[in-house]
Amino acid sequence: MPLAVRLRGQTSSELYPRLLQLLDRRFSDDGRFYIVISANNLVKKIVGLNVFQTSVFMLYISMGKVTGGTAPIVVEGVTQYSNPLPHVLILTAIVVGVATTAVGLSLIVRIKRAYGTVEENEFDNKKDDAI
Amino acid sequence: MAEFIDLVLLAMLALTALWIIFLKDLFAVVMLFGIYSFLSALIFVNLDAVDVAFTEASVGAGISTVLMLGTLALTGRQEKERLSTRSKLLPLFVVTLTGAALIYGTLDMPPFGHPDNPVHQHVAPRYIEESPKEVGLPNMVTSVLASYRGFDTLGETVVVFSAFIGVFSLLGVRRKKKKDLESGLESHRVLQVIAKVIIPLVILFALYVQFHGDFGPGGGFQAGVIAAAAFILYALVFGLPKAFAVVGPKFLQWMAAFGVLLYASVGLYSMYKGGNFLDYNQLAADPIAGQHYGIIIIELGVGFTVFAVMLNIFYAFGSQAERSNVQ
Amino acid sequence: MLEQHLAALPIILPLIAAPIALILGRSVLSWGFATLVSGLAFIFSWQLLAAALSDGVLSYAVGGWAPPWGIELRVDVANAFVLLAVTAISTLVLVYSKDSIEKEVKVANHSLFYTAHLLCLAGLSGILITGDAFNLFVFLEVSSLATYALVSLASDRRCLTAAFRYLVMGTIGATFILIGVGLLYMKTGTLNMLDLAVRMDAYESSRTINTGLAFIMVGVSLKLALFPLHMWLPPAYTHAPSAVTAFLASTATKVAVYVMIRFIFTVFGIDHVFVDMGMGLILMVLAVVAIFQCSYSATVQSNVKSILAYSSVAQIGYMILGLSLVSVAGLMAGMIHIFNHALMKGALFMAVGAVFYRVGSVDIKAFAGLGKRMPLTMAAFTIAGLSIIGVPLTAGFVSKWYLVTAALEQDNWLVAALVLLGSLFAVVYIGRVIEAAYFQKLPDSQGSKNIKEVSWLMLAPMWALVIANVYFGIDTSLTTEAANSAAEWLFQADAMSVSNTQEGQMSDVVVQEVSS
Repeated sequence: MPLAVRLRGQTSSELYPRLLQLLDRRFSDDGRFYIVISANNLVKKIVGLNVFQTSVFMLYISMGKVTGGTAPIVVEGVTQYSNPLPHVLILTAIVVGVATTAVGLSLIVRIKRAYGTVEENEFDNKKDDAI
Repeated sequence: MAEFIDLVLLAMLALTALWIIFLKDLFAVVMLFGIYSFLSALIFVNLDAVDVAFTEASVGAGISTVLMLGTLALTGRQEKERLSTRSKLLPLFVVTLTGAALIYGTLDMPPFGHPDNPVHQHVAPRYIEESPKEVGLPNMVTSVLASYRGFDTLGETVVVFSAFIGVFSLLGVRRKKKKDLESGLESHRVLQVIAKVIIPLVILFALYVQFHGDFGPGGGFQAGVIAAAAFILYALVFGLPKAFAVVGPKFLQWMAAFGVLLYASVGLYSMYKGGNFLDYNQLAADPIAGQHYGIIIIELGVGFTVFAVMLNIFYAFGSQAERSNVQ
Repeated sequence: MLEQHLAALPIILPLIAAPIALILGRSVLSWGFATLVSGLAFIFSWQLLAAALSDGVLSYAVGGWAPPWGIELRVDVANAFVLLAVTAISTLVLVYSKDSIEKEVKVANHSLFYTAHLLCLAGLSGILITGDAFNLFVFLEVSSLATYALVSLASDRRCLTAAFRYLVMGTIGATFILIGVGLLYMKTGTLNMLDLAVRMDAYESSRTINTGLAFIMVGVSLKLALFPLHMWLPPAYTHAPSAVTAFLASTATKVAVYVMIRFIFTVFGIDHVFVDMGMGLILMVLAVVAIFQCSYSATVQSNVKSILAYSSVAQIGYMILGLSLVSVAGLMAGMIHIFNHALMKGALFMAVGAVFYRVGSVDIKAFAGLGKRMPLTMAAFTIAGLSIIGVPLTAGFVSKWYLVTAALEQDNWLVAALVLLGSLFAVVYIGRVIEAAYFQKLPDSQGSKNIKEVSWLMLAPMWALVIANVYFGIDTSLTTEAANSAAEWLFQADAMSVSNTQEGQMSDVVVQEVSS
């Protein structure tokens, strides 16, 4: 039980951020990935991919946070800022994600038109004439 | 307190994700995805990533959800019960393995939010301390995005452009013939009146986000998406043919290409001036002014491309839907 | 002026040309333009290789920001060598694609095809040249999105499901790489690959970094279709338009193999990957299984494009096998095979595309008697096929020769024997096609009477590759010199990054100076 081991011996003031970090990083990527590779419906697969990616974004953003810092926009009198670099990377990754989603969804629309279904096992079973 | 809010949000996030796994109604799945996206955006705000939150809300919760709904309209909203005998064990095994690897990886992770973490000690300090002087913008995210890592952002704009190529080659945008039924929510007077009031405001907001990105959260991506949203609303309420009359797909195709070229031309011009690709210092006699010009122009390029691509992708999906309705 | 920007040109040239190709719109115009641009990129990458061979490393700071704050492009012999192969194949495929695409893709989509091809080329060049781990992810997605579009352009409906599967697997792979890069960033605070290598040495062994390594390796393995993560590749290559398959089969996976080499040698370091993590044995076993399993699958397919697609996965096994030997000779054999395999598979898929152009089918039955009807195409197929088998005087022989020598150098007789045994499968699957073409009778239908040779526009690039196959089989000086210095450079780079820990401390000093 690494979670328990990790939490033992820490003062309660430290506990919240610690728990947060654990929740953030463990639960985020895991269950979401399951939807992608087990779903039979193609739309659900795409939703799963998006959810999976969003949780990776959270991994990045959680690194950038500095306790007591503020958003990285210069304000008079503030010296502690959170790290802007992960934010920049994730801005890029979000846009990449929506681009992939758009292409994936339009493939689904075409698959529906060509095969009449968007369930993976159904079009897998349809035989095509050999070209 | 902030941690407590995060904890609650994370719990809700986990619940939403679990719910998505078990639901069979795809409409609800997509809606839950929108919720998931908004929840993530809230967490991003709480973790000081305001720009990211803005983008996640407009792109993840906004455009992605709209496109998913558009797809559902064409493919049906119910997931079928699984009939195949394909085992669920393999995916479960792969996911468990991935999860185990991640947990293993967290064991040595630097503590959350500690200012002495490597990420806060190396590379980033220069962005935080020097960028207001070197680039001259208060928003460090914009400085890093547009200047220090401007090449990434060019790549990202090109990714958006590639998505357009993909969607366009797959679906194409069909212009309706005049004799086809007029579409849109013609009979909904209330919607039309409200839309007419809202759309100019949304466009104004988009312009604000576009040009204020240097000082506050925002920039070309968010502005492009918001402006596209205004036109999407117009197309939804008044029908695609009328939207085509305002900005046609062919024009948008040009605009998408133009945005990328505008961005790249800044790089070429700085090469012509003797600097490296995308070296904005060369654009004007004063490096700070040069940075300023460079960032404004490339953000415009990004805005053009994102706006044109997002709207055109919506047109592509929308015209498919109308076609199948007419049939 | 161009001299100064040489490192950036192979990326930005096709990147800028892509939207222009879309604006040009007309099929012939955008074809000519794309071919011209790709040709220019080839010339520049030739100069880059020459520059890298004479000067060592070329570093280019994009935006004028010094690394690690800005994005660095970093050209050495290894990536210049792969880049040369990529741009060469791209140019030849573009010449070839004019006729082939007219047959296989709707007219309205022609300019989109050329735009997507240029985007893919830009993405692949970017992956090769960039020295920044996150920038690599961005270019990976540029090339991937363009690839999905290219695959789905075919008229057969099965290309859609193939492209979708490719999209899902590709996105998972890219996301894994993103997680890996994130974990490395978390521990080191940097994204520049050189800086990463230096700063990672500060940690004896960190679980976070090991996990990052694992995620990156799995993600890249998905992209390069390493067994058992190869299931997306055969359908995608089988159902994509012929010109697309010829391009992707000879470039996309090779670039991914290079990414793996790059991460192992210049970022993580040989000691860490092979000694501490024991990746060498894993890679070797997977490579050997890939060679046999996929070569066997290739022998039982009836679609010739499928045969060649499975063969591709098997050939990737040879490259990874060379890498897993962890010696200069092994890595050099892998690098040579990256180059040579591009030549072989390019020629083979072009020949199959030519058959589809005339016959309208790529089933093995359709090849019956084609030796008489399309003599030049089938001769090209035969010579390139012999190269895949590894017959002396072809490029394939050179690859296998160096691979076997590298294995024997370590007294690894088993691997050497397995490499030779794997070639026997190639004899079977290539032999089946050749047998059909030369020893079976042409079917007596009206249509088959009208089959004739394809135009010179398709034959010329095909034969250029065939001649290259023979040329590099006889005169090996260019490939061996480049691959050898690439391999030596990679091992040196690894040694350098270990000894340069002091430099890492120096960069800390710089940070402090900046911050003070």
